[in-house]
This record gives sequence, structure tokens and C-alpha cells, in this order.
Amino acid sequence: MLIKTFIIIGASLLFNSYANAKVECGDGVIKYVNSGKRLEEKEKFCIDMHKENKMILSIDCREKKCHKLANPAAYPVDISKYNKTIGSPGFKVCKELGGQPQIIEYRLLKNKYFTQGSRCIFSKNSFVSNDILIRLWKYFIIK
Amino acid sequence: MRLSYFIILILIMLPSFASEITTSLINCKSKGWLEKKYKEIYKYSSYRDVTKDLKKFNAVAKYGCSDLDSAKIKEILSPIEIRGHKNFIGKMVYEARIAAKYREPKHEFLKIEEAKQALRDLGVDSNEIPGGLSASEKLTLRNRGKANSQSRKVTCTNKNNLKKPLIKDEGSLSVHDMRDQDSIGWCYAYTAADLLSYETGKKISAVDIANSHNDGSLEEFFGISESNIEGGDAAAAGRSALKRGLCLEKKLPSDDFVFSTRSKNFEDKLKEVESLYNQFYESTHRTSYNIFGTSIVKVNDAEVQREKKSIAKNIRCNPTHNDIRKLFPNLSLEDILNIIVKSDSDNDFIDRLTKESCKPRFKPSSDISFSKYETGLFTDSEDVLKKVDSLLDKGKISGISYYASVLDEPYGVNDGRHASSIVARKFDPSTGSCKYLVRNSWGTGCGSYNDMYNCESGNIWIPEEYMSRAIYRATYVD
Repeated sequence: MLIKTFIIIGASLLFNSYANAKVECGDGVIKYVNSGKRLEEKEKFCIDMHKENKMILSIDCREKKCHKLANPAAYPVDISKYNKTIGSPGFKVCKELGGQPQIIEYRLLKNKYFTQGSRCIFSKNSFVSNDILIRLWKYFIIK
Repeated sequence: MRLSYFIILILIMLPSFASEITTSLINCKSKGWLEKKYKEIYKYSSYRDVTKDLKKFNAVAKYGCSDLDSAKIKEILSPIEIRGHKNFIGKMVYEARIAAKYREPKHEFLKIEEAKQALRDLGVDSNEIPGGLSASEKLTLRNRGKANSQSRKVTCTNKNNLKKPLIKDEGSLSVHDMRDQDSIGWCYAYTAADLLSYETGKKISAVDIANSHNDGSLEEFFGISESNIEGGDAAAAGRSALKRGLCLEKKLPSDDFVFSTRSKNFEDKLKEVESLYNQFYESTHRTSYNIFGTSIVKVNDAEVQREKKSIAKNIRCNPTHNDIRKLFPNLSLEDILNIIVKSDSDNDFIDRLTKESCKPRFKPSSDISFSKYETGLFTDSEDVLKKVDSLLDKGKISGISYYASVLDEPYGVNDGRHASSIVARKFDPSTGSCKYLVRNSWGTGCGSYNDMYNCESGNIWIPEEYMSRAIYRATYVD
């Protein structure tokens, strides 16, 4: 039990390495294409302003209510079955975690331009950037 | 090549080690994953440090195993950690000799010393720590690398050939307009789309190129179906698209959510389109027997019309078949039914749907053709990279076919055929390397790439010394 607690704290600290990067939250707009139609949805979300690229995440994932993100060690994945195709690893991890990957553009209302990205939707209002997933799951993936 | 044989030998020996770990993981809920991960880490330890991999392996084991014998696990894993450091020293010696062809091997020298220190920290006797490079060889390699880097600096002029629509304006800034292929293996279509977009100045649909990339090709002749869109040749796909006429991305978006839904992906959906055609064909054709043998004949028009109505109902009511409307959103139900009647085969059906789904198509105002330059009897990877250099010097970009393993495991065995584009080049004075900007189709994220590389919104600067081993084809537009 104590070991599990330490593991959870460790994973949270790892998650915090992203959460402690500058994170901005607020009302925003997410755009995507579905069956040829361009759609826009208003949602509240956060943006992790990582030095290499921005990453989107839902409010509850920022507050660590995404149970899978709190402890990647509990949900190791195997994406080797996808090996015959060289597609985005983040999408494969998302699917293996039971999420729905989606290519999007997003912006907070206070920002002028949209940012390109992709997210893994776990449930309504619970999602993270596929890039956050691949960074957190880096050592918990079989390729 | 020697490294490949070594790895094969290790994999043959692996079962004896694997049985020890299997015994220790009897009561683990992630047992299957742990066994497979163990083998993967063992493979990595043949050429690199696996300390972090083993720490995380332990984390999964501790979380998922109810009565884990930690001491036993440590006993099994500790030699692998040591093995990783020792092999990494050998690997860095090898890499230093290669790197000196391009630059001073400062990075490799540093890694050798770090690995030796790691072995000392693990209590390995100094007699058992590999020596690495002798002082004289280090000096030779340093001087050679410096001289080669200085020569290369002259020819590795900074080139940034990015232009719209591969980039877009955000106020006074230009930012990358990236592509994302989802988890489908249609990288070649994205590369062809980027090359065509670059030439025409218009963003070309990648899914349109993937939809019938083997249209009229040898693959079709040998009966490979259109739904086999995963894996292809960028030049062939580009030629096919030019012949058919180009489709704009805004008419047929490639990043449609419908391609990445949880249960089925794009290739599965195309297979359903094929099965719909085959169902129609079987219902509207009969085998006829006569004195000369058998032949297939079409039923009369009334029966064809009846079957059309049945297919229409199928498409409207069956969620599986309804996907055809989502794959080709610009076509009405009537369009689809008319096309199914005219088609000669399932391949032909998808080809016709693709052609009709994007109208009007446009032909470029000037003649465009695709060419390839690839490794062969008289050309090697370095020659291919030289071709890329000459294209960059002419103000062009180049599609590339290469092994994707270079993106995250540059020291590993070449693996995973992939296609992207090289759009820029620069000389990095901090390392002395010539670097190439690889525009990938995995979106704007940087987490998939090795920490060694500088990443800019999903584009990665890969040094020449790694790219020259991974690349095997350049595809370009004349």
C-alpha cells in the first residue's frame, strides 16, 4: 500500500512536470472535422505552454481527476500490433487506453489564433493532448 | 549489419533469461505486458543505457504484482542494467568513429565517460569496465571530426524552403501548418500531398491521394484491394493524383474525426465499402452454364433496380454501411447508387467514388512530374542525402523515405518504413553538424521524438550523421 502510494505520488510529480509548466485555463473554442463538416464547440479547457509545443487538456485532467494520468504504471500499453503502420504513436496510445483520438484546432477566447493539435477524449469534458499521453507513457509502452 | 546479427543472437539466447522473469511474475495482472517489456528492454540493452526503462518496469511490476519478490527482480534486472551500460560504451565507440566523418565526436566521448561512471556507481570492478577509446584515437577522431565539420560548414548553407501552404501567417509570424495522419499508415499520401501543395500553392487533400493510390497500378493488376491504403509509394501516389486531377484539402479533409473513431479506422471502413459492392455484385450476377463452360452474366434491369433499392436501404439503416456516406461526404445516396451500378469491381467502385467525391478537380497550370532517387547497386544513403541537398539548394523541398526508428532510437537497428519531407537545412555551430528539418505527419507534438533532437511544433532537426543511415529514397517534383 505504501509502495503504491509512493508510485502514485511519483507519477503525480511526473505529471506535475507538465502541470507546473505554465498552464493557462479558460473558456475557449475547439474546431474539428466530422464527416466532412467543420464543427466548432465552446468548451472550458487548459493549455500547457510547454517550450517545444502547446498541449491541450481538460480542466479535470489539470486537477488530476483523470485517473489514468495519475498513474501510468497501472495502465501500461502495447502498441506493437500497430507496427505494420507508421502512424502517430500518440494516437495508438490513446486507443489502447480506451480513448478516442481527435485532430483539432483550439484557442482560448483571449487568444487570437488557433493552435493545431490532437487530443485523446476519455469522456465528455475529460481529455488530454496526445502529446501529453506519449510523454507520460514513454516508458510504459511496448512498441 | 554486424549489430543486426548480434541482436539476433541475443534474441535466440533470450528464452533462458525470460523464463526467470516469468517465474517471478506469476501473480501479476500485467504479466503479459511485463514479459514482453522485459524482452524489449533486453533488446535495448544490446546498444544503450536502460536504467530508466528498468525503473519504470519496476514501477509497473510493483503496482501490478501482489506478492512481488523485489529482491529476486533486482537480481534479474541488475545484470541487464550493467549490460546496457557496457554495450553503450561499445556503441559510443562505434558511433564516435562514424561521427568523426561529420564532426567532432564530443557527444560520444561524454557518453562514454558517463557510462563508465554509471558502472562504477553500480559497483562494477574497474577491470570489467570497457576501456572505450584510447587517448590517441580520441585525438585522431577529434581532429578528423573538426576538419570534416569545417569542410561541411561551407556546403551546408542554411536553407529554409518552407512556404505556403506548408506554413501560414499569424500576424507578423509564420507558423507551421502541420499534418496529422492519425494512426493510419498513409504517410506516403501526406508526403505526396505536401509536395503537390508546395508546387501548386494550394493545400491538397492527402486522403484523396490515399483513396486510390494504386489506381491502375501493378498492385491492382495483382488483385490488391483499394482498402490496402497502408503503405505506399509517394511518387506513384502523386502521379496517380495528377492523372486524376487534384483535390483540395478543404473539399475532402484528411483529418476527419470519422477516420479515427474508436472501433474502426479508415482502412476498416474502406473494406466495408468493398463488401457493399461485392454484395451488390453477387446479387446482380448469375453463373450461366452452357456447352462451352460457365460464364458470369448480369441479371435483368428490373432485378438491378430491386437490388439498388435494397442497397439504398442498407446504407440508410445499417450503421456499418452508413459509413460510406461519411467517407465520401460530398456524394448523395443517389450518386453512390449510380456509381455502384457502373462499377466493374470493388476497386473500380472506390476509384469512382473518389473521383466523384471531389469536383471540380483541378490540374496544375504547369507540367508537374514526380521523380525518385533511391539506394541501389551504385547509390547509397549518403548519395540520396546529397540529392536532397541539391534539391534544397535549388529552392525545393524533398519527400523522403526512411526508417522511422531514427526518430526515437537513432542508435538502434533500422526499422519501420516511413515517409516525410525535408524542408530546410542548417549548420549547427554548437555541435558542428549539418542538420535537416524533417516535416513529419504526426501533428504538432514533440513527445514521440528522441530528446537529442530539437523539435519545433512536430518538425524535427535531425543531424546528418543519423539521417544518412536511415534515408533510402528521395521523392521530388520536377
